[in-house]
Amino acid sequence: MTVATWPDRDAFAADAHHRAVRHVTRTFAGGTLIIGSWYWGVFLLITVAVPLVVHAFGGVMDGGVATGLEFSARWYVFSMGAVLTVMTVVTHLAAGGTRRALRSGTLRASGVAGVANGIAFVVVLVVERAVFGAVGWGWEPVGIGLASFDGGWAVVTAVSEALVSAIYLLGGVAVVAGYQSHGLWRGTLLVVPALLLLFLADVTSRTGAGEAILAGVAGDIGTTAPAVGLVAGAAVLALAVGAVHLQLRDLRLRPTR
Amino acid sequence: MTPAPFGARLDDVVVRFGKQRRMTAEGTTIKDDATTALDDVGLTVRPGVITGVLGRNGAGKSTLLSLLAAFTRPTRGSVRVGPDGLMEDPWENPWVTANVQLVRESGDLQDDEKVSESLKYYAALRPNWDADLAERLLDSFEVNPRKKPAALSRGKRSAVGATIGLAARAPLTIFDEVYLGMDAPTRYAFYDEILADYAEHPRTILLSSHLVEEVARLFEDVIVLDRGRVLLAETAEEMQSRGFSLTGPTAAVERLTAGRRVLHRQQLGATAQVTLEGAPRDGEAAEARAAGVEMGVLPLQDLFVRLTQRPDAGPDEGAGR
Repeated sequence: MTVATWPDRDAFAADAHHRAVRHVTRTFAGGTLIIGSWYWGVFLLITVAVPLVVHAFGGVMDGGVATGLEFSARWYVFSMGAVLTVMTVVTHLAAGGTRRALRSGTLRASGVAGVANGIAFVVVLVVERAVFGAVGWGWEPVGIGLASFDGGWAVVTAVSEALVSAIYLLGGVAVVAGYQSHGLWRGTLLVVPALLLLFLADVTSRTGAGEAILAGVAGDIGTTAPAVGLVAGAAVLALAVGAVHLQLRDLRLRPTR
Repeated sequence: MTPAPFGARLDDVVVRFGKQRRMTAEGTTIKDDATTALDDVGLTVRPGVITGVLGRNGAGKSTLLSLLAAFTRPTRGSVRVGPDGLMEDPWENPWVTANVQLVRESGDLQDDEKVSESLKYYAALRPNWDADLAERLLDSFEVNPRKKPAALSRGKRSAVGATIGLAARAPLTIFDEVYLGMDAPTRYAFYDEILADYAEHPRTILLSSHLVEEVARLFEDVIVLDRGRVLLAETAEEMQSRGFSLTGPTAAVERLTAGRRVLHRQQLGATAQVTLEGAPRDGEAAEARAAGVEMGVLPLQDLFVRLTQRPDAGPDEGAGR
């Protein structure tokens, strides 16, 4: 049977697009979750083991292992966005995928990876709190910039971290797509707006290196209401989606010889 | 559902890459285009035939083929790809891109993953992917799909590319010098596979190559590009009627050649072979036969060399090989 009519053509095109989006989503989300399961697994192990070892030797920890979590967790997601884009972009276009499918797939994957990271972040904090409680130490939460430590902190923190992770993953995609689209010099210049997005993600979530830099420059700027922070985070996510769209829409494959 | 073979149509297509700063005679600096890869190109690719795309290095072959697969976009002009009556702009058009497979020499593989992972990507996106054919071809080309592309020789990478092109079963399949890294037996096996698969699954195939003599037998249509322009786009039959060859005793060949434009001349002892432009005159075939001279078809390579010869070509370049 051959396709020769417009309805067939439309159905074929829609199927081809969805097929490509699904595969990009699976590639990016799958890759990030696999590496993430190692990252979080190791972190969880350390979160449990280190306080117990310190306690066994009679020591007391002032802060938990999770202190560095808000800095490192997002950078592995950024790296995954960049690495997977490097690995995928040429093969994707050569296999008949469109740039639009690549954008939609990475956006969906950023959602999946973001939610997984947000949940894992809270789980690590909850486990650390339990371990500290079990050995009789006081515990101060870290990396929950938007939440006060009450009943709702876990949800706010999970959503906030999900937004930050999604933005970082898309930031990685945008950086590599910028190099691919514009070459070395302009690609390097375009790293700056991508870093600005990451900075904004940190600031709106009141966590990470961006928040530390802002605090260093501007001093104490008080607290941000969770709803305001989350809405601002969603706005930064929209900017990140726009950045990926801009970098991918005119992406051309350069000659290989 | 398999779409009908795809054709293509290019009208007034110009592709320019990059910018450069240039000093004028007056000493002012201006910014202008660095490279014009295609210059006012207009041509039609017939659906359902094997078309050869020939040209010297930098002629614009890869750029032309990249346009058809939406790897790049024209600076100006229109590109339409599709079956008869449904041709569309390929850029960001899944109907076209899912039905066009361009294979470049690199194979466009995921370098840090096993070859099998790249093939899985193609299989997931290509609606007509034939996994059995891919497996058989890799076996036949002796490629281990568990290896990473970086661990493969250039020839084996080319073989993976050839496998992708054939197994994709795309209505428009394009091979851009994909076989350059292959050794001769592998190349000939690849040509045989193309013909066999083309007979079984008719589609449009575009082949670009420097190895004109080797691939000429495959072509039904031929496009010759030179410095970004189309020199010729016609059937192989029409192209061959542009000239003929004479082989025989030197004196007889010289006599028959008198007054005609010689495209190529070769001498081996007392035997000469010349390629002449135009069709034989009435009675010329009989005259040649009587003189012990054999009349043959125009070798595509000779015409190609002649068409693309630079005016300042040295003895090693152009027709006087």
